[in-house]
Amino acid sequence: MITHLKKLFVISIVTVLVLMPFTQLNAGDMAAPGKPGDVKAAFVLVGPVGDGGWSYMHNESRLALKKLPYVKKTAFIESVPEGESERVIMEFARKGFNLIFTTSYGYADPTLNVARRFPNVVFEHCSGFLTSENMGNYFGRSHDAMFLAGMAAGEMTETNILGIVAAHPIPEVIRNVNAWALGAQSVNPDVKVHVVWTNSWFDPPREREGAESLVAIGADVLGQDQDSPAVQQVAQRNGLYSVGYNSDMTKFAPKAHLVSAVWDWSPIVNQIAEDLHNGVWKPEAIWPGLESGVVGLSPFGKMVTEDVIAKIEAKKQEIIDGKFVVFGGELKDQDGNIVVPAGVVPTDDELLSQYYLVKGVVGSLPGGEVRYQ
Amino acid sequence: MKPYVELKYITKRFPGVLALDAVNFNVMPGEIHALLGENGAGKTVLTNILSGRYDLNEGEIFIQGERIDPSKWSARAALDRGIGMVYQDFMLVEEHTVLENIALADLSIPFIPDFDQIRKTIADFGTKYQLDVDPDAKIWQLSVSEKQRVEIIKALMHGSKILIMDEPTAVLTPQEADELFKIVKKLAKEGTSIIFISHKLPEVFEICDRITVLRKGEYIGTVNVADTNEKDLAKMMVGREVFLQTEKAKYKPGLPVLVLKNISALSDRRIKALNNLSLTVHESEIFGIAGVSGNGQKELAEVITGLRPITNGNIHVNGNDITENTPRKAIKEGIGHIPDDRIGMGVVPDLGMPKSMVLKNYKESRFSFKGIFLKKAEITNYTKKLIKKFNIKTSGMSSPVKLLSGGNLQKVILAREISEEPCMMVAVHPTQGLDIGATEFVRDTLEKQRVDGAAILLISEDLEELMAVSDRIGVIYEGEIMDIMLTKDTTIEDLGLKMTGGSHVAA
Amino acid sequence: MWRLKIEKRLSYNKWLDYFVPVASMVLALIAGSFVFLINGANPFEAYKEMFVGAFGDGYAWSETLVQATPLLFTGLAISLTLRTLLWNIGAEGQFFMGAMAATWAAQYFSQQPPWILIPLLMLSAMVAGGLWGLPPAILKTKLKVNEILTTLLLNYVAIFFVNYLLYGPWKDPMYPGFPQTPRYPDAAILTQYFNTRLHTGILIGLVVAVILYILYKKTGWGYKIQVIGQSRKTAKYAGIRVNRNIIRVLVISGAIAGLGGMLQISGLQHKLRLGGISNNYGYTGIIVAFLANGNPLAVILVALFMGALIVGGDSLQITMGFGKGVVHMFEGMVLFFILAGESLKRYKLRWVKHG
Repeated sequence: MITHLKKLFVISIVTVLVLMPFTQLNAGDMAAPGKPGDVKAAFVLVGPVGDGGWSYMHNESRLALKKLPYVKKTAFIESVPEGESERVIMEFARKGFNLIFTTSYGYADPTLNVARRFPNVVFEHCSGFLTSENMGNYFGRSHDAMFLAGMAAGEMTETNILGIVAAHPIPEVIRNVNAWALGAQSVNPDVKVHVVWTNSWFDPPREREGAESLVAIGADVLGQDQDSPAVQQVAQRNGLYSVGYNSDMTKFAPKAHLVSAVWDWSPIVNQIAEDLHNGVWKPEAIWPGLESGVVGLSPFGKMVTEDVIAKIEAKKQEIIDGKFVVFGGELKDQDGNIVVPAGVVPTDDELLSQYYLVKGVVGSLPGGEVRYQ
Repeated sequence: MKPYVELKYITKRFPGVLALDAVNFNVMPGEIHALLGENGAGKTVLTNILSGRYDLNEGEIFIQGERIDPSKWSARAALDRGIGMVYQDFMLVEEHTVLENIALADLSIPFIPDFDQIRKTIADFGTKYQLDVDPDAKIWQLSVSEKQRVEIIKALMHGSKILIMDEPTAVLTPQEADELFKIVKKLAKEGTSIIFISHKLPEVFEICDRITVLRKGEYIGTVNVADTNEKDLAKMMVGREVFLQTEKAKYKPGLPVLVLKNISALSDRRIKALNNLSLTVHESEIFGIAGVSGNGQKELAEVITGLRPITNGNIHVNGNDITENTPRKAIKEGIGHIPDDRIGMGVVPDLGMPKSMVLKNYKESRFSFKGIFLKKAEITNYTKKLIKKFNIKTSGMSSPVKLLSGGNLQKVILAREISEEPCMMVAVHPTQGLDIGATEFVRDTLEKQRVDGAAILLISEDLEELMAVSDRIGVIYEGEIMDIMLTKDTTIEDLGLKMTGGSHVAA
Repeated sequence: MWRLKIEKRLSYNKWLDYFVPVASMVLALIAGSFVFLINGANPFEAYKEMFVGAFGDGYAWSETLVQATPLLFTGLAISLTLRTLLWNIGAEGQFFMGAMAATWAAQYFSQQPPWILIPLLMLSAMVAGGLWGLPPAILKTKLKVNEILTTLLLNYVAIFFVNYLLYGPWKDPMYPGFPQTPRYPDAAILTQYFNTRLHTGILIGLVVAVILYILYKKTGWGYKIQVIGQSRKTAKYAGIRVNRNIIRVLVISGAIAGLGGMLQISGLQHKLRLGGISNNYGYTGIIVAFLANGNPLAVILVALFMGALIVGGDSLQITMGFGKGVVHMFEGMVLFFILAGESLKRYKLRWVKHG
């Protein structure tokens, strides 16, 4: 192997150097702007498109986007590791896409880096908070939907032990966990919510293990902030109930599934494309709630009684009408410290950096103070 | 009488090598037929074809006069036609009994064996051929010769009409070898043919009827033992006259070089392998160590060369204390080492010859700048010089050393060790597996070293070699030196007896 | 009846060195065609896309080189241990530790100018990676514990430790709640060239490869570790201190992997970020080193090849709309054929007439 590799090495280097058109060293400025108003949209997905959850829903929004008349082309790439996302995002920009959706919090910096190189391309990052001249971000107040879904869990539990399998201990997920717990507590003050972190968005075996460990400590309703439906399947196999996330997960566990907090990105994605088409796009942080339909609930399972559904629907209306705020004071953390005083509504910035678990959640967050020595 | 097996014009090619070139060979029923030849002559290839392990390129096989279709010839077919192999690297399950091993090997025995029946058969063989072995002993409890008997029984159980024995005496003491010969003769008398591969001319003359000689894949001839002598045979094998008697200078030992006092050491299995052993080797002296393998020879060599720590006693070389010995210290003190594991220890097997030649001295300023950067050209020249000086036959300096023949491999090791001009040389089985030419060369080289004043410790299982080469011989038994005597005052039979602990028991 | 027989090659044919890899590559491409055909694509177009994606222009080259850089380091690190017949499965963890130590140095010495800071980063990364290789080396030499297990297990320790830092003490206070450090000071960031992401890391990697090549081919130490790799017994026999050199090899291997970790962050990611450190480079490096047969110059080629496979594979997804699965299937097939071809150099298959 050694000798022939040496030879091959020399041969291939020479060949490629000869063939290589050295004209295109500059990464930027390649994207030929199409006709004004045309939209070519690309989606960078963190999990497989068939994950049945997060990435699946983003791809659904791409399929809907495709139908708009001025959208000339759409493309996606799945399972992109965060450390290698920058190349992929850049590749889309180079290939002439003028609207690029990057759909994982870990893509934030890479998206910003590429956005600086391609000022004529619009970038939209999902679930972050960075903006620049040509980069916006979008997300939804999923915690509102999670609160409602948590109510169903709180109603259905008999052991008063709930369990939730969650991906990364970052504010986006922490809010969902807290909201889910608050929702359950709102109908059942005795309920305890155990949280297990998998440190991965999409890892079905680990999600399954997390769920099994919750079953083992007596949780009888399982929830999730994960991209796959593994948790639902564990609940069904153990004869328990479950609450889904991302998409309507009924079909993965029809006997267990109570309800899912679901995403529908189309309203946002279509609006962004339309703005771009009309030349009125601006870099914004888009963060709509239940009223927009971006976040919401799936149909309920048959085991959820009409009473409960009515109660949840009423609460939903209260939230939409601004009569009820999920994280409104008084809110206590695990240790009983008041984190939101009575009567106070937390600002969006406070929500975006939420880094505590509310009272009644069993589990912990990694970390402590920031220091470098 | 018709031959049981006849091989005609057998040709076997390996890529780039003609291993057998139109070789003829036949075996009569009840005959002991020796297959003789130097290493690489093609003996093993021929027996492997006969036993169906190799396909042949050209030639014909006849069994009892019936022509065999070569494409149907396989190990299984050979076994079914009564051709059995007595394996040297015993294919036995150590933890099982003799009975179980035999039952396991015989495919005609049903899944649930009738052990009483097998026991009876073994007993029958015992009385018929003097193949005595305890059927209920575990294999690991058996001696080497007993294991060999189990292998023979296994072959016989299968109804073998021909037994192929590849150097069966190499692992036996003279007494054990004599017993084996009795068994072999008895088997032949009862009609079993034996193909006997050996390097040792005396034993060939002792038991064989006919001898077929191969040389470099060529068929040289088949002779009746009665019509030939050792000298003629040796000539047939090597194509020239050889004198196995090494010319020896007069024995004039000088000052003591190596002094071992009350040495004890453990084996790899943490069992005491050397037990209070003391010996002294002088300048201009070859000190032979005789013993049945596994009595501490390996450990003795390793202790002197620093590869194994001692638990007791002390070691001096030229008056310097190297009790806390390491290979580095030993090399620095001028202790050369010809290991028995030539490929695994003596050379760097997969690399070219230069890498094996400067193994111990690459740090010297002639081969490297301050021991950091190697002087490639000098190393290459040095290797070329040694190849010439020692007449090493190689297809190229850069081809892997492990592809060399045993003799040339040993020459590489000798060249390196002798070029260091050692004051002390430990040679372990230096001629084992070598052909006559190479053996002669090794012995001459050792003798030259001796004349130049080196002290040499020769560890060998070949008693004739010890008798021919050594000035004094010490017999090692269970990690102790039983007796040290001048070579001229002893005989092979005496050594053989002492090696098996005979004199120890008698005393 | 014919049946296939496997025989060991008794001689070594030089032409096989040229023929086998080319033939395996051609076979892999033919087999890969079926993957594309099944998925309804023109294989020629797919191959063209892959090639263009990886080598089509200067930018594509730059991305292939960027992707090859970490693999070059882990490949070199592992090739060093392969030469001594040791398996360093821990390059992943050493890569993490290198990235971690570099980040510490970047923050702690943030006031220093680049010509001091960058070498400091490199040094810290090498020390940290080397230290991560030390416990397996000691366990191996003193207690004969298999280094495959110990190096592998330390990967998890390293990853968990870095995760702890990211979620905890090192979390960027300005970046709410996300597990990542602040951006490196500018002085700690390597130059990127040609307005691409190509950074100095690849140059350092080439230098390391050449140094290792010289070390192997020209020095006494290279000779020594080669002997150790060929036969421990021979090495001991020749008075080489085997244990001492095994420790050195594992530590240097760790240092090289650690340096790779530093360059990945300092050259490309510019901050330590969950999921943004290594994408299994330590494990891919095993394949790289194995295919390169321990030769550092061959590692360059194989790392480049693997980089091209990854970059070209992504571009296949982007332009032809394949799922990741198809691309993985193709990549796996290529590696399979190359590895199978390697063994065919030692063994041959022959049809034998039977019955």
